[in-house]
Amino acid sequence: MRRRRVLPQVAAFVLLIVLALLLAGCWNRRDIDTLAIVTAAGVDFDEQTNEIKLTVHALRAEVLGETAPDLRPYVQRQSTGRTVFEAVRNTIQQSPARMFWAHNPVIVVGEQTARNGLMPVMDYFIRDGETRLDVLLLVARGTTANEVLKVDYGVERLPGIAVVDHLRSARQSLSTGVFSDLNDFLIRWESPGIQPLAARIERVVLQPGDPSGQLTHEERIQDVYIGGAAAFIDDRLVGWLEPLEVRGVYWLRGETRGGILVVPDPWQADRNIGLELSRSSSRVEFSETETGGITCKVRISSTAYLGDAMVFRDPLSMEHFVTAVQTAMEAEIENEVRTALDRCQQELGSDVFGLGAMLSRKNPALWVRVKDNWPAVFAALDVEVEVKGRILRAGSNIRYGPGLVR
Amino acid sequence: MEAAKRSVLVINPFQLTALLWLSRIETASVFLPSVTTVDYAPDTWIGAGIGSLLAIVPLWVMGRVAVASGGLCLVGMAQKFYGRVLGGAVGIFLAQFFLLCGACTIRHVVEVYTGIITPETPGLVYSAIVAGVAVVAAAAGATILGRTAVMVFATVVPLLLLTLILPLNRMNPGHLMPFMHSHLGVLAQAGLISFSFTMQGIVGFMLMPSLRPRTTKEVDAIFLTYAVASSIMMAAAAASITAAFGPLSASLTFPVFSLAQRIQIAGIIERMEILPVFLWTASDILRVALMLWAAAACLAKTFGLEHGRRLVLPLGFVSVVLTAFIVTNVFEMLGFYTWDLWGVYGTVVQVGTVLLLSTGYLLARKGSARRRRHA
Repeated sequence: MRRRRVLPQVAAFVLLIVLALLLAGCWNRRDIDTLAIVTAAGVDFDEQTNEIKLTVHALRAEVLGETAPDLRPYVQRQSTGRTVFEAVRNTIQQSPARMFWAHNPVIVVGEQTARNGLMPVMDYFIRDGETRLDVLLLVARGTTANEVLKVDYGVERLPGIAVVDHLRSARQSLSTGVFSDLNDFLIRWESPGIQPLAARIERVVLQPGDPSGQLTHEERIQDVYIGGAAAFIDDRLVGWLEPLEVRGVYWLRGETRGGILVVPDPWQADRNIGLELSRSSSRVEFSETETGGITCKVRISSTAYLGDAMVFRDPLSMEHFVTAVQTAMEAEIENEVRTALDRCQQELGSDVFGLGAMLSRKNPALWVRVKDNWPAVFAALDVEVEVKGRILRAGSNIRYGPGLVR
Repeated sequence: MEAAKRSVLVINPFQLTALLWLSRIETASVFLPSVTTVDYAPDTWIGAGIGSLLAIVPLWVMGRVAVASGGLCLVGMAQKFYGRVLGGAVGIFLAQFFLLCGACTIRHVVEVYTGIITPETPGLVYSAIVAGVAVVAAAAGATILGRTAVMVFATVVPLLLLTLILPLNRMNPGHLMPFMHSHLGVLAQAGLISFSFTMQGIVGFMLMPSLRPRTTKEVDAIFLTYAVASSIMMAAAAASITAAFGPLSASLTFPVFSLAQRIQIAGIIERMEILPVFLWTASDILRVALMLWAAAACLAKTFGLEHGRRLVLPLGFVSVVLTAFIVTNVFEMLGFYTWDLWGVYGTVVQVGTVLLLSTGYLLARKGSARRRRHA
């Protein structure tokens, strides 16, 4: 009886001692002062040396709080390796701090590397436990990732964060840029009937005395431009989409979020009208022709506000005016869609619209028949575009203009 | 003293329900989606849901047999219908089965922690901690297990819902289309693996002697709600993962963890990976405790011991050792839970047990009716 009471107490005491030893710290602890938090990364493949060149921005937290604008709150490091993983570890050769990837917001890939195929350089970022799939993917047009990451942003002190904000604005306020993370890229890549898109970034050399250079306290000679998109077939870059072509893709997919649509004034051809886009949706239908071909009909619906007109118009007194602008709006949207379609069907051969994926959901039996030959089918696909545009509002001064005052 | 001893053995229907539900949360949230979507198809969630629902039939049959047998446990019923020797063989077989389930669960925790959180920590550390806590819980008895389950249940179920609902804005319902167009074989595979997991609910019948009250109505309610909840959990997890990742869902090692990484609401609610990690830790420990308790109870009943509490600690050691050898890496772990390995094995063992015991019950009833007629 006495033994039965003592045993649990001894066991509990031993357990407490063991827990005290085990819970005193973390086995894999890494103190923050031993970490280099990555805020941007660039990957290039050097064909001459056959090595991966990795460029990273490592945060300097002690500088981030400083008000001195000349100090950059990050250190740019470069390393090379036969694989990305080796290049990542080789950064330790320059600094004892180990790179911490969990907060990295962007990965930039050089154009040539992207043309050779992204898989060899992206696998590390997909597989590693520290990296995340919500990191944004950009392709540097006409240059290397390393060169793009050298550019200093004026307002935002951390280029990686600036690029994220820039991309978000381009997507939401213009609908001319791609806000696509690694997860979206991989899903498009793995899915049948749709090809990946990635954001496009360019280095721009500023002219002396350029006003945008004067906005900063330092002598800026370079800037970046973000807009348009990089179009892929599987993991290989095949070409570029211009900003309005990207919007054409979004129109077809019903994903246009915002932006300014400029249409010619229906009654005065040398003047323009600016429409602020609000909502859009689309409906895609496929049908089989008697000859066994496929036709596609896209119905796009969009609403907009009258943002500015270069000459006074009074929508209330001229009801035909609104109708005419709506017609011009529909024509302009159709034009953007057609331009994007022509580019993707004729030049790039990349179904970035995902028409194949839509067909597979709407008509699986038909998809099974054409999926093996989809690139050719897509290139020859007859797409009929029907647009319904509506102007809902005309701003806070609906009839203001010099004509009204007189 | 006697009353105190009895109270340690009692578990009420709600506690048993919570315990069974928790044991399924682990499956649904750790690896089931990746298993059912090994061959990506938009409809695997339907197969997972239907597979679990089908488990209602054998569980209902088992419940009726258990109540009619006076609330005996699985081994007790086997001994009653087939004698001590054959019944004992069933007991030893079930003990190793439950031990295997427990060891596999410990291995999941090890893989989760070393795979995504602390890769340099030896897996043995996590095995020992999980097994240690589970042993303490199991040795405390059915009542403590049940009470703990209710407390953990109240925390874990909302977290599971949050994990599956918060990433809604990152999901694309299009990935679940076309609806019901998958090959029947894909649905059958997903259904079989889901069925075999849900059938693990037969471990609940080891607690029948401790269940109070133990009427047919209560037992039906416990196991029917368990099967329905399991079906919903598995279908919801598989559907969420497929909607969020589309074809990628087949290649993710820990899909629910990846899903939690996608949570991003208004730039405020993000980086919520702790949700599934807490889910796994809490539900896995209780599941291991339940399996260890059941394995110990099987052996105790087989060898005529008063109760199996003293066997829990050695079984805990065995499970830690098994954990190290059962699979050598994560590839084997995922391969272990495919439809053609665990799906077939688990189904044969569990449905076989139900068939064996229900046949034994029918034969025994027929025999006693005949004896009554002769008398």
